[in-house]
Amino acid sequence: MKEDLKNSIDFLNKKTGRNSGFSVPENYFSEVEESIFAEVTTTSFSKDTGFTTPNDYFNNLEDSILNSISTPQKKSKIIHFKSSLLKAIPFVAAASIALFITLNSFFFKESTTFSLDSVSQNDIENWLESKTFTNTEIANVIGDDFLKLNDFSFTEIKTENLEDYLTTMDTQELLNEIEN
Amino acid sequence: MISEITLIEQLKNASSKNDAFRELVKQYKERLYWHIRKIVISHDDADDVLQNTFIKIFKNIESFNQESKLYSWMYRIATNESITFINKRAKEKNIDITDVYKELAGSLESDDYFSGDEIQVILQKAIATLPQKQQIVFNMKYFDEMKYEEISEILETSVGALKASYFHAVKKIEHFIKSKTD
Repeated sequence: MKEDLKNSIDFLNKKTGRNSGFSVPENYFSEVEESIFAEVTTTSFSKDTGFTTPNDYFNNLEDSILNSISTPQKKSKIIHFKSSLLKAIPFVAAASIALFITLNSFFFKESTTFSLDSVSQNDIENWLESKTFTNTEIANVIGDDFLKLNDFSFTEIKTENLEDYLTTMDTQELLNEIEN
Repeated sequence: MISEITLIEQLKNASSKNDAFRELVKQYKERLYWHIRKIVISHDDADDVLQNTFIKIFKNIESFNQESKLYSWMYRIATNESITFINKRAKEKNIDITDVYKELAGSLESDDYFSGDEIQVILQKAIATLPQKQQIVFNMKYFDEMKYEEISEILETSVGALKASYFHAVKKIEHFIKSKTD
């Protein structure tokens, strides 16, 4: 039996080189120690989170959820951007006119006194067509009171919308609004 | 290298347990890994079982009664964890343990962490045909070249039974390889 076993083992050695063929990832044995320590450490952590719930919470939960599903929900107020914008444009346009008049009187006119009458409709239209307004310029003219309007607190009025309004509106109507 | 008696004392002492455990892992991780690997085949599974083994060693070191060598005790834990793993896999898949081993051996050719050539694949497939305990005896004797007395202490089986088990294992594997290569 011993000889028989020895011959069989010699055969296996010759065929396989006594090699199982298994290998490991690079650096596995240098890295496995830390993962073992981490695992051992976490086993000492308490599984109890400490969180508690009110009495009968889970017993009442189902009813609570079903009730909230069946209760009609309040519709929240929707603020339409377009209507907000349309409300703002006359004010901004008026502010633009005021800005024009102010600049006109300081930089373009020799006379120290001025009035709306001294500014022609053509002047206003020409100036509006040539000027690109930033929101900062408009804000500086119209002041802080305007900003208290809730509709516009978080709205930035685009220049192209303002220009569209100005080109379609009657200029005389704007001047009347400023006078009033 | 620290003596086994000193290491055990330190492991059983709360103040030195962690450091002693680090030393234990350092000394025995590779030997235990390869023993586990030959049973469960896959590297990822062997990694899981190795971690579980060391967790169990850490948790139960106070109850180690020193009736056997520390290494034999650890080796026994590793063997039992590996067997439990395979048995659990068989139960989950609702198949026989032998079929689990055949599946595992069959996947070796595409395994990233198997660098053997065709003959090693045939060898592993041959081992997979053996009963579970015979596989373990063969691996410990043929690859690890352990003495029968050491294997006996670990598997709690008599030396005589081990010798018979090993003989049968070798003959079956030889026959399998010859049938696949001749």
